[in-house]
Amino acid sequence: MINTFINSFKVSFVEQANTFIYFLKRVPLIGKKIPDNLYERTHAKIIIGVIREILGVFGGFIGKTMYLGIMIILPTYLMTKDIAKMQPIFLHIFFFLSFISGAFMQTNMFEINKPAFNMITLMKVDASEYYVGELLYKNITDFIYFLIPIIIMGLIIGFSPQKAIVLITELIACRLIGACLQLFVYDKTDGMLKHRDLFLSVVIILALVLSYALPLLGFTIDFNLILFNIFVVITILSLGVVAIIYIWKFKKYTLMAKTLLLWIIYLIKKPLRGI
Amino acid sequence: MKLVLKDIEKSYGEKQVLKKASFTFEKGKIYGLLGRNGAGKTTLFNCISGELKYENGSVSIIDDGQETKDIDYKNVGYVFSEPVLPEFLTGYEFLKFYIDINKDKIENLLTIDEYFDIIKIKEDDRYRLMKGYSHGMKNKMQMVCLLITRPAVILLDEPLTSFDVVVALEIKNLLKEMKSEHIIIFSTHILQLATDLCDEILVLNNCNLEEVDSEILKSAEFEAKIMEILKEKDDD
Repeated sequence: MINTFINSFKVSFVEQANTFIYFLKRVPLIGKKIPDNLYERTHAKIIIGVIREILGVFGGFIGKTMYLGIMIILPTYLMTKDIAKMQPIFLHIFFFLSFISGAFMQTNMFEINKPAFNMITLMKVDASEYYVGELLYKNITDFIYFLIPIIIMGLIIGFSPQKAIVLITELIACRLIGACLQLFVYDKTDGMLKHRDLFLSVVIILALVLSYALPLLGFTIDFNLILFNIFVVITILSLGVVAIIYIWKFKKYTLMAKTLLLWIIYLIKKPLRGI
Repeated sequence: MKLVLKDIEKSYGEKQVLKKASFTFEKGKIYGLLGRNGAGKTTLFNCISGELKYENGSVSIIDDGQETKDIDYKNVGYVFSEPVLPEFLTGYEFLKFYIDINKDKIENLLTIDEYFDIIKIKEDDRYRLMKGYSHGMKNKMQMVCLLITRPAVILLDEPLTSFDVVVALEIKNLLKEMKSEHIIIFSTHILQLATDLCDEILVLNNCNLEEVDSEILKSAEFEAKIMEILKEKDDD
């Protein structure tokens, strides 16, 4: 799996560097000075790729910080107008938005995406290794991207860095449990929850209502008592471990990939030729 | 080695596309799959390659008398009629990655430039983004992947229609050279191609696969016979 992941990373690295050059060449004035053979120059591309990766890391941190700031901190502040009282509402909104909605929305393995098509359909990498590698990579990087903003926000609104780490670990465990549940449903029904618009709409609307409407109406669930309770922590982490084992051992990734990725061909064919 | 299709059935909603489609393909032959637009040629290929699930029937490979029902899809190479490639890789990078990823199953590996020479892609073009490649060049890139890994079953969904005369001839010759070790199934609606290249012809019409007598393949009545079959079915 490591090899598959490294290969996938290399392809993505080079594609991003090439994309960067491609768009740089279209910038007025600068573009004309970029030589056509830059795609051929490995060293130059490594530098561009590294710059692109560093920007990507910054983008990751900024993205998570903006999500927390706009979706959680700002509404929480508007409801309380008092930093000292923000913590319960922050945890309440964070739980419903990130733990519940995120568990279903953040599973990239059910997406119809071109990189997966390139790697699995064209380059013939093992679908199982690809999907598991990508899932773990996304969750590890999201753990890192969430870490600093949540620690800082925790210090401002009153929970310790240790609690921040526990919170993010539980969040990642919940996402893995969500992915596992989706695979389980796929295994039993051949259906993909992520592509059921009604199901997704219900989850998103319910999560939004529970996140914002309850505190607005004066009902805030004290997740401080729940999420940092040792038994709850152990239960969530244990379920997370079970989820990882299930995800690891799941047998139908190739079938799932074939079903999902054929759509790439159909989406690219305009108009659709043949049936 | 044989590829056995048995009673394949596939529908899209109410519309049945394949109805008990059965045939046994053998190694060493190029099979031409003829059919009108919308007859289900691409669907049949998608069923063989596992891209589509079918309602009934089976696809299996018999090798040395051993039947394998769960095909390892890595042994099925598929050239899509509309080539879809990673647009932001150069042709050279794509082949390099493809070789790196599949190196365990490649025999008699050539250099990347040698592969490019075979498919006649010029040196300048090798380091261009595939985004700027013509349809024919993209198709050649798909074809060269088959040359590298040489999967047991090769499905070609109308691949030569986009090539110019010279390249089409080169690819035809290449397929003829490759056929001894593979099962090659080639879909087209161009009769001339089918007669030039294929050892056997199948017609897919009204949801069924029908073999055309190989005796008439090279005969003058071939075209008329095919038309007759297609019209007969249409009139049913």
